[in-house]
Amino acid sequence: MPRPVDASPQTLVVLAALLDAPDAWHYGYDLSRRLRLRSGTLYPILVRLAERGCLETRWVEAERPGRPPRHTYRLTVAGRALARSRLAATAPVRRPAVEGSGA
Amino acid sequence: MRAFERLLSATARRVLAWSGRHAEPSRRPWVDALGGELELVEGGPARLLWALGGLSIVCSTRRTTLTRIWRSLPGPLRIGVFGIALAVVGVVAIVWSNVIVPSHESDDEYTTWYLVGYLVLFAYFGASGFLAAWTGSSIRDAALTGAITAVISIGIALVTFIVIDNLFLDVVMQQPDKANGFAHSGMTSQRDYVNQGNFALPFVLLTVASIGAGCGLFGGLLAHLLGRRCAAAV
Repeated sequence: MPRPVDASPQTLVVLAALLDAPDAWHYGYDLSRRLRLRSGTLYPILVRLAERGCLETRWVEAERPGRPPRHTYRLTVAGRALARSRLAATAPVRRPAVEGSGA
Repeated sequence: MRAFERLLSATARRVLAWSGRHAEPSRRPWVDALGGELELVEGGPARLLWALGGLSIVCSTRRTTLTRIWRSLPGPLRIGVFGIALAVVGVVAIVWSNVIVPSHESDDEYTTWYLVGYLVLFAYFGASGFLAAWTGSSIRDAALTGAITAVISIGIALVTFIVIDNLFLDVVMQQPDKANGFAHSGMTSQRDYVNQGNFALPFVLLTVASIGAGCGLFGGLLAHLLGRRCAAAV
């Protein structure tokens, strides 16, 4: 049976991490370090989730002046539903080691 | 050491700038997002590695566009387009080199070029399989695309040779290889001589199909391997 869309192991790990702190805003670099995903893996997943309306994005000013603004992410309501269904369908899923959530 | 770190950091910024210029407009903010995090990444090598994510975004964009165009083509055209494209080039080259500007040198003079030509052909069959798989086809279909590409292109080329040999027999028989071959064949008709191998065409095409399938399979496997990395298994 073909694997459903957005059910790759990497996507599931991202969804699980975002769902662990659904109200928090997550930084890309933090997610990358926590989930041990390279940017070239993580960002296309985020792009895809955002384009499907599963991910909300927001720009925030950098803490230190002179630095560019940072992009932050959190699941939308649809994204949370998708995450729950995907994670439930593929359980037991390797849950990411969440060391403090989001922004 | 610090100079090396600075060089890698500068390269990382250049990679992101390039990615920003080449990404689809709707995805440029994502490259900016990578740039926003870049200053937080510690160490030149890690920064460069981080910036390579920009290439992934460009790559996934291009792949999506290519896939859209490819899927909009009708099925038969989609699978035969590579063969037809190569056949057009082949027919022009064959007519040019045999009729319009016929060569009066032996094929032995061009052994290296023939070898290069075969390698290019194999690469082309492989590329057809690669592109088929890259745009969503299975590996089996990639092998099929390679086989069909090979059969269409080589088949049309061989038929072109047969037509030219018969329509321009006097021109073709001036080729040293054909003239020598005819002289030593013991045959009395030049036309019979140029047509003597035509019965083998189906067998030749069968062999060509096998080679094309092998090349297409290789291209398909490569596309799946690269595609998995490029699209980040989304």
